[in-house]
This record gives sequence, C-alpha cells and structure tokens, in this order.
Amino acid sequence: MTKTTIEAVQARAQADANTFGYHLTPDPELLQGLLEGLKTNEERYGYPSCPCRLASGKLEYDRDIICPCDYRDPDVVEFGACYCRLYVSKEVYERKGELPTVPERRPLEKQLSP
Amino acid sequence: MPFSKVQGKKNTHKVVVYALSTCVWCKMTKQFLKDNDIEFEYIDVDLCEPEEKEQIHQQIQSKGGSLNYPTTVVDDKKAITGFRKDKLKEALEL
Repeated sequence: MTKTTIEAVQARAQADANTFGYHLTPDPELLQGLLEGLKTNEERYGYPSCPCRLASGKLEYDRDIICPCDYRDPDVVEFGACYCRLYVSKEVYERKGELPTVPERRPLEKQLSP
Repeated sequence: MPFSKVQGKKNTHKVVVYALSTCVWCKMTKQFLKDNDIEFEYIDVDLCEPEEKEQIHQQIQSKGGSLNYPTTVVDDKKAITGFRKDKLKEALEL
C-alpha cells in the first residue's frame, strides 16, 4: 500500500495550480475533504484518482481521472472550476462566493469501465 | 447490497443516497440530511464488490439518475445529482 500525507498531496496540488495559473479551492473545509479523498485513493489504488469519481482500481481505465484529471483544463475554462472543485480559476478564487456547479465531462462509457 | 440507514424524525419521503466514501460533496449531502433530521439510506459505492457496483449502476440509471456522486433518489423517482441544497429542499419540502 502506498503511504502519503495530506501535506504531500496538498503540496503537489498547489505546485500544479501554480504551474497552470489556477488556485486551490478557497473553502478550507472543502479543500481538506478533497485532499483527504485524494490521499485515500492514492493509498488505496496507488494513484490519486479524483475523489468525486468512482475509480475502477485499474490504472489503464483510470488514467483520465488521476488528479489533475484530463477534464480539468476545459472545465476551468468553461465553468471556472474543475469537476470536484479542487482547482478554480483566479476569478472564482477572488470572488470567494458560491462555487460553480460543474457537470461531468467524462464519457459515460468510461464511467462504466470495469 | 449493504445500504446503511440513518434514522431521522422526518420520514415521509424515501431517500437513498448513492455516495463515494472519498467524496466530500457526498459527505456534505449526508450531513445536510442529518442536520435536517431526514431519515435516509446510503451506500458508499466505492466500497462495494464489483458485482454490486454493476447492480447499483443499473439501479441508479433505472431511477433516472446519472452515474455521478452523490446521486440522491427521492421516492424512487426523483434523482438529484450532486450536492444541491436547493433541489434537496424542494424535493423534501424543507
């Protein structure tokens, strides 16, 4: 089993946000919950799949939902946040209001993968 | 399938939450229902066996839900995707 820490998960996510010009969600409670979910998935599957999606546990099927997922960039561009709302745009971060609702962009056939 | 039941004083609606144990939005949905004293059942789909997951997928889709979590099904007919307080309040007459 892979062992990791909340701090390591957060540092990785923050570094990625910095690289791409995003921010981590401004809601501390939400952020903590998302990081805990990522930590659990990394320890369970060996990779940090999106905590808000059902992973198969098979890397070949889950590659697109390993955080940051393949859908993050188009979701942030279109909605101002990714599906789970870990990553948000500068505008959403600075607004500090209610986070946008982001519909699932992952194809249904991928959601049904074994 | 191993559904868990949470007791509540308000039990006029049948409420079932399909959730993931890792999903913070699912936890918020469960907490919202508890805070409003709603009786409900839930299942953490990621903790189920593969054959159970298949059955659950069919169950959710048969009730008009999508395979996104949380999905809350009220009275076997209204499926609410995501943690949507506005839609939950409307469906549960809160």
